[in-house]
Amino acid sequence: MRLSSLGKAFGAAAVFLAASTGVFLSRDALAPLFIRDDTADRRELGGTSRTLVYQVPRDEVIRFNLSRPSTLVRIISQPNILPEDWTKSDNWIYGFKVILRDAEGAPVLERDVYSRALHPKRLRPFKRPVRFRLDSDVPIALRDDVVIAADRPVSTMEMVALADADPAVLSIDIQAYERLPFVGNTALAAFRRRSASEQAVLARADALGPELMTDQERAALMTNRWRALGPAGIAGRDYTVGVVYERPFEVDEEEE
Amino acid sequence: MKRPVRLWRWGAVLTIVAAAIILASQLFRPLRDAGGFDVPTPAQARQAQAAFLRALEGEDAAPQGLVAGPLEGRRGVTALVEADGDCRGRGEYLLRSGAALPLAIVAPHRGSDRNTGTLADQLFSELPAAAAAWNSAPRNPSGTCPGGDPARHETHYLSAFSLAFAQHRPAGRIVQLHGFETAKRESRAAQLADVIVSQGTETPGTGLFRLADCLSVALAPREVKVYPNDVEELGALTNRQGRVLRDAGFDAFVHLEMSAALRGELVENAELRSRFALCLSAGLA
Repeated sequence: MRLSSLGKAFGAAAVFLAASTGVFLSRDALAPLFIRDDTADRRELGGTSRTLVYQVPRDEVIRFNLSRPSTLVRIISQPNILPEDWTKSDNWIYGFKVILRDAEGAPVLERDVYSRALHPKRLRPFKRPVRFRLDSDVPIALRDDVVIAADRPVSTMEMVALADADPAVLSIDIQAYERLPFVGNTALAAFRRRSASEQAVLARADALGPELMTDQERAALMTNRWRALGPAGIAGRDYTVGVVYERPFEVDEEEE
Repeated sequence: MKRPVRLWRWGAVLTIVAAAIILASQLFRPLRDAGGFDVPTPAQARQAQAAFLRALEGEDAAPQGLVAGPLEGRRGVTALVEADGDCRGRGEYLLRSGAALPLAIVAPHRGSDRNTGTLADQLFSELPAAAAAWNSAPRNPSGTCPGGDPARHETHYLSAFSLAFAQHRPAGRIVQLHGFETAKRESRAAQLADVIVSQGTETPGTGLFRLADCLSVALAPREVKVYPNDVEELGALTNRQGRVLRDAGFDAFVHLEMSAALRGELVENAELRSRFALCLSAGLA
């Protein structure tokens, strides 16, 4: 009786093993042979963040409408440098005109902003972000950041590239921001509306974390916040938009 | 003395259980006759995949449980659908013969993800795409249909169709259209997003980023996010079609989550839809 049970057990195990092997082999045989390996790309793009950048035209303006009147706008800019000029210099002058208008369209402020963009290698490697475009090997110059304050609230920002830039500057890309009006209790409420993980991100510079912060500190985290603006019109017709990728610094072994 | 009493008790319990089963089977007879949500066994799924492949190659074939026939009013389009009155959630499929982009547009949650079904149909017609697929039963049971989610079953007909399409068009793309409610999302990034693209993996390929870039430009200033780089929700990690396709070596599976506002706009606005469609078909010969 025992032998018979043992035999059955062995038999069942053999059938199971044979069936498993068959399924495994047939699975391999059925698997289509159309593997496209992009392991290298996956490694390169892991942990990157994507940002939309808008080109500042030379002949006509690019217009940004603020979601509500504000006295503060912020512009992050970077010039696109001709590929052959990357080896000739490590800094390039460029400029753009900013016109801020009120709700009626009347100009409130007009300013020419000039910046000197630097070659990324002007920064020490550990401070240097890695920024690139997906379909281009041409490097990207370091960004410049400007905050413009107006005397009274503005509703629209217009920009146009200035002609007297370094000849190596092909075009100028910008990101525009408006100031979020979070102050006092509004800021605290805005902080509390965020999820726990987002609160942790906002409070990452604080050693204690969001749970142990005072309400005043929590409100302060939301007070100085900027919101990205998109241009008015249709992409391709009214403005040109691109995507820039960024990931944390990388140590260049040759440089070290 | 005790043994006969125990037997009597067991007999009574068994009789009651048997009576309850008979009663339940009579009470729920229509549902039993209709059958449940049909999820094939692995062997049946392989047969279904082979049948889908033959149908994609132009043969007059259909997986068991589906009926093939020309679609009225659309030349060169074959429909694979469940027979009239049969609702087992096997899905509905349209296959285009002749010149078409190697693209399959799939709306696995038509009904619950509002407008995705209509959008899939519009894209299939306007591109024109080689194939399209929809769910044929709701996610939750209704009066006439059993409920089920095709995206949760590795051996579902939709998985078999996806594998067959990948086999037939190895350089093609399979795009699943989904919908999400921004108010229900946990993170600010997802709440602000209009589109979240993913491949059901933590390491998406370059192709997905190219698609996201294209959509960012085409839909600007709407927010297009990539999982997991830009947003940590709705990454389709449990999507079974994505999983079986990856296992088969096909990396052009795209899981596209859209906000309700964008879905409505895409269905209504032909110009916006054409820009959206251009991105879905970019790079496909």
